Amino acid sequence: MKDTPLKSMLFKHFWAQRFFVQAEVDIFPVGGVSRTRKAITDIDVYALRPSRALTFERVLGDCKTLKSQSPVQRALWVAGLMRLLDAHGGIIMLTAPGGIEQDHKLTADELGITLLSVEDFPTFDRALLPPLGSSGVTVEPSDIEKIHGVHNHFPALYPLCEYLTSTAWQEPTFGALIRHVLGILRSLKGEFDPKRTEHEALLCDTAAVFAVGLAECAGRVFNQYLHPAKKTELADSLKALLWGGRESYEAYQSIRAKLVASRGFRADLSDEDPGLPEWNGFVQVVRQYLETPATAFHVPWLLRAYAVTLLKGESFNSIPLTRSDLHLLKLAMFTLDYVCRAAGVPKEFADLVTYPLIQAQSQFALAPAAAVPTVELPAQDPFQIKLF
Amino acid sequence: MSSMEMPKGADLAVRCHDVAVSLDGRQVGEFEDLVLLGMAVRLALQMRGLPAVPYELLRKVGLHLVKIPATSFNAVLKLLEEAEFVRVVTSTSGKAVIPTVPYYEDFFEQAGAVANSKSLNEHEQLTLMLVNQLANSPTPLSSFYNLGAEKKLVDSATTLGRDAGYLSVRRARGKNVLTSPIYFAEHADAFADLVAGAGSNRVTRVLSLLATHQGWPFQVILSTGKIGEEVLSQEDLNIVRALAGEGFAAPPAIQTPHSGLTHFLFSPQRTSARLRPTERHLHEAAMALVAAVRQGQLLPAAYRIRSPKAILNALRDRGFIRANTESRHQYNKLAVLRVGRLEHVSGDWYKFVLLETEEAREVVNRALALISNDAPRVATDEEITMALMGGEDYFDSLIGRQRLVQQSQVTASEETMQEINDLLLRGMP
Repeated sequence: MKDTPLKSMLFKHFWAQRFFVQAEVDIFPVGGVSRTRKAITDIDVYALRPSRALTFERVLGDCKTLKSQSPVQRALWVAGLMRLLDAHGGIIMLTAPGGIEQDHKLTADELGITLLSVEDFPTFDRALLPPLGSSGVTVEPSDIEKIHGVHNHFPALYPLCEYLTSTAWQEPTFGALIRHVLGILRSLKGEFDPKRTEHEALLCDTAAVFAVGLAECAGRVFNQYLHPAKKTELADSLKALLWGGRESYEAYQSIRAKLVASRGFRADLSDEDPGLPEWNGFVQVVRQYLETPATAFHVPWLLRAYAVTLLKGESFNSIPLTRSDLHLLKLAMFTLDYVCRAAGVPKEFADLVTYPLIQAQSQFALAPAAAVPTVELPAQDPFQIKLF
Repeated sequence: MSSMEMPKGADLAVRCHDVAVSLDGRQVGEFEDLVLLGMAVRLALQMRGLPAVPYELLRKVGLHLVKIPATSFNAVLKLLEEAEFVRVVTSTSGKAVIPTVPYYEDFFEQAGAVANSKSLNEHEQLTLMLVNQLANSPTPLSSFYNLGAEKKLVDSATTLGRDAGYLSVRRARGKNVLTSPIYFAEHADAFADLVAGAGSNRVTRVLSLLATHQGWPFQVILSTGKIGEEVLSQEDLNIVRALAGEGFAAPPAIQTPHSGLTHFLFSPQRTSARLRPTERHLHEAAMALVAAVRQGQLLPAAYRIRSPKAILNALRDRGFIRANTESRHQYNKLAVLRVGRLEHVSGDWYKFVLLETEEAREVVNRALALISNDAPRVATDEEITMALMGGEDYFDSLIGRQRLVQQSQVTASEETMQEINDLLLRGMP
């Protein structure tokens, strides 16, 4: 595909800023009526950018080798897509042999879109990520595709892979994301084998997607309560947030009770068991997140990076981290531990997947002066893109 | 209500902490696991929320700031591992400790589970029973002779506790009364006298009721014979009268045209977090704020406040309480204490507006903690947390500074002065 190098450049630009990013995300109609679900379009590079308001902002990346379309027409198309997905920004990177007119760029800017040519991109990249830009990033969009392609060898895992590839990106709320990730994982818990590195990688990437919801949840709680003094305050708030309000939560509990009764059992449902697995563990993880809520928004990036290293057979140390990431490592460790327990996968997974995170924390705590070696830059100019 | 029994679970962990803090690193031959447990609780609280810490730094902070003897540190760390409060990682570069300390009740539940699993010796058990009982109320020494332990053991435990500082012996009405300097730091003589006259069970009950109904109006208690919904006997009411009288802290009062002068009673807080002198005015302002909302709740002129907690939450979140005709009298004291100001709206209508200062916000938070009976059970020390986060250089400079500070003199408290004066009065020819 001719656009692949462009997608790779944009992907790396987002990745270097620790956005949670994925390429070629299919978009489906919300609340569609057709019996077969069909994608209406796809987004070349979809990124979640941590914001100061402790939320994720959606940023859409579009990469095109233009032939018959003008740049501003492309910008208008992306603007429509941004509106559909409630995105905060867009970047369009084009190979435009005729160049891009300034007025097209201005118009795009008014729509919240940055319009760049391939020639513009290195300057843009290096200015935002001084001094060398994102060329040193070694993770490719295809690395994420490989994780989501695990179902090719393990077909039973298809529902999870499909969910991570597209559906997760269109969940309407973080509560839905959290519940559905755990729900799908638990339905497939019997498929996970700790001896399979692919399963480890998939589990870590699933935890990454889960962490997107968790970070937003913690951000919302922090903005309301900072650090809730009582556990019941936090727990009650979480129930309302996860289920879309007190009324929805109560309706859900009522349905739960009826389901239990319909099987001939007595429903002894207490408010301390709202139905999310390992509820107390979840409350504790959220409370840990509240200590450094801004850091929480980098956990998805770290867990995905970890998943990539697993599948590529690389060391965890290849992820560019420093001593100032101690909190980040700790939150990632708590998240992975919780997901493994809540998912009900074999117990060995928790120790297996958290081990490198624990070792990294120890290394950084003991050697403050020694940073993890950063990834080496390639010798050639990475922006000499060969399109043909 | 009596707590003349061995504390269990979370209470056990808190009491071990109280004893360890009082001992402040001093060694006691009779104690084995009790002090280790207490030090473990204290260290864990300081580490909560922190990232990984080098073992050596933790050990030094433990030694100098938490007063964990070097020979006991590994045993304390083992307890923390048992409680799943830390993960210890050993590598070729050394050892690091990753805190995984939980929040809320989980902390004390997990600490308590570990404490419950230890076999404490007779001396330790008796000490914990003493400390547990005294956390609720001063108690005549004679009550402890009926517990089943030998008198000699009780006397030895009392002497030890007095020397260590987690209990003191007061003489009142011909009786020896034990009090806790941690939980009854102020007016200990007055409490001892009250207990000597009325009995510790009754005093415990009344204090317990006040703790869950902080700021209850004295006149309402006398007229209804209740605190909240709990009925009081005549003897209980006498205790209430005593608490509002001489020897105890003057309760906050509010004067209104419709209900006259009303006093609002408070019990000592159930926390080992001692009030620093610089915080006293905040605590007094918090009590005044609680008194104000109780006035609105129980003695309104026209419209009753249904939920004092909701009013305080609104004050904290919105920064003001909506105008009404009673505000001027209700919140006047708070304006004098510079917590807020009264804005005249029209006629008799005034709006109470919180000042935009950190102190004012802290007052509201403390008032909420009082109304919810929600003070943290044990205190954390920011200096220790900073030492753990700051690394070796920060720690070394902190220790250096502390050594200099130790040279300076601290002003004696009123109680200390009274003791010295009494001694001199008796002893000087």
